[in-house]
Amino acid sequence: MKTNQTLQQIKNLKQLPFNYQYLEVFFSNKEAAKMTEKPLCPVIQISAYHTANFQVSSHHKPISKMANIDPLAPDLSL
Amino acid sequence: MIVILTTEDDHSTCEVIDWLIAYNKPYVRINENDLVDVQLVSGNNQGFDFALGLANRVIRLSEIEGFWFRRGWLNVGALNLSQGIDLNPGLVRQINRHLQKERVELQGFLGHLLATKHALGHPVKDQINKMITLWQAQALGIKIPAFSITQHSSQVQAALQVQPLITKGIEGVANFEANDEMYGNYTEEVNQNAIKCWGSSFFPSLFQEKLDKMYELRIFYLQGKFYPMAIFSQNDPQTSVDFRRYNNERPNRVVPYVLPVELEHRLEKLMQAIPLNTGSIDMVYTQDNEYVFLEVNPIGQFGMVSHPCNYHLEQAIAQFLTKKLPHNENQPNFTTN
Repeated sequence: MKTNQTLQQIKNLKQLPFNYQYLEVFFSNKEAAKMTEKPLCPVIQISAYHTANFQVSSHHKPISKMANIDPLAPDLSL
Repeated sequence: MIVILTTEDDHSTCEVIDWLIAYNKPYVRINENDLVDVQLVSGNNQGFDFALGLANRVIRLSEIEGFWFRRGWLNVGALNLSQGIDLNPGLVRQINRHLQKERVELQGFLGHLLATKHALGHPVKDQINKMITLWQAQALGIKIPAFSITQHSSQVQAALQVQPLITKGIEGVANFEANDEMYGNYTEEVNQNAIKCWGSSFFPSLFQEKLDKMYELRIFYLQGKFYPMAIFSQNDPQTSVDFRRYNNERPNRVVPYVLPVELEHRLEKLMQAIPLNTGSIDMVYTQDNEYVFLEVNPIGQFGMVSHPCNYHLEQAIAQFLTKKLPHNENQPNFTTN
């Protein structure tokens, strides 16, 4: 469990809900900046969408175009 | 036209839109950070209407045929008085508080109007009370975990003598952002050290019996149909209390699942009672061969169920949104560039 000074300050406020003592760092921009994403497939790339630095370049871009997927492939058919 | 209210980082929305494109159905995606211009909202004895400006287009209620509330809210009336203006700061706070109430009221009304269309999800009813849902489930004969809410460690001590406990938020997980970091918590098991650490009294907190799981169930519900997935999280210490503490090196095994018909009927009644026409239901199948209901999330992730189980939920949602539209085509057209 990662923790830091801010978390410790919160946890020192004992009047907070009981489960606040389990607060942890879910995501850190600094650590994310050090990470390199493997371009495995579009779903895996985009699975990082919880992260604050995830960006969507436009309102919508069809996945088939992003991933150069053949839209007539059997797994996409009705 | 189909209107989708969502957030810009929601990947499942993209996948549903892919299907709408395949079905040649016009759509408008409104992300919660898109500023919506309230050009006109009107009502009289003949009915209600609105014209909302979004970027360089106008969305009229009368032109909307389907609506999907995925998540987020309509970003209307974003004006706030700045702290720098020459007014008493206390007055600024009161005015901003009132503006916020006005905004929420308008958001609720516009959301209600949208939900009067052929709609999946509801922007006003997206925040259900999980404790009330437990009450409703119990009333319908669905087993629920024993729980207590208390602000006294003595009560927790007494309950811990009877059975192992877990603790989690009454409403949901805590989630904060500060200093370029995101903080949160998972469901955790309670032990004596934790009780001693937190002192004799605290903010009212939820404690629930720790279920002896055989596996967990994540069930996506879409307008009368259930799409269950079993998650074998119990054998991995990292995921046994909360499967969201994902083990990326050795992910939990997940498989499609068939619910007993009687349980489906009860869950169907529960979803009608809440009421929700879509949502993600969390349950546990115990070592005592019992199905125990935990909660429903109206805007839960469904990609995690759709892909491993081959449920094609994104297509099912697109079909739901389009099926009542004129000129519905059952075959997708992939010939567009």
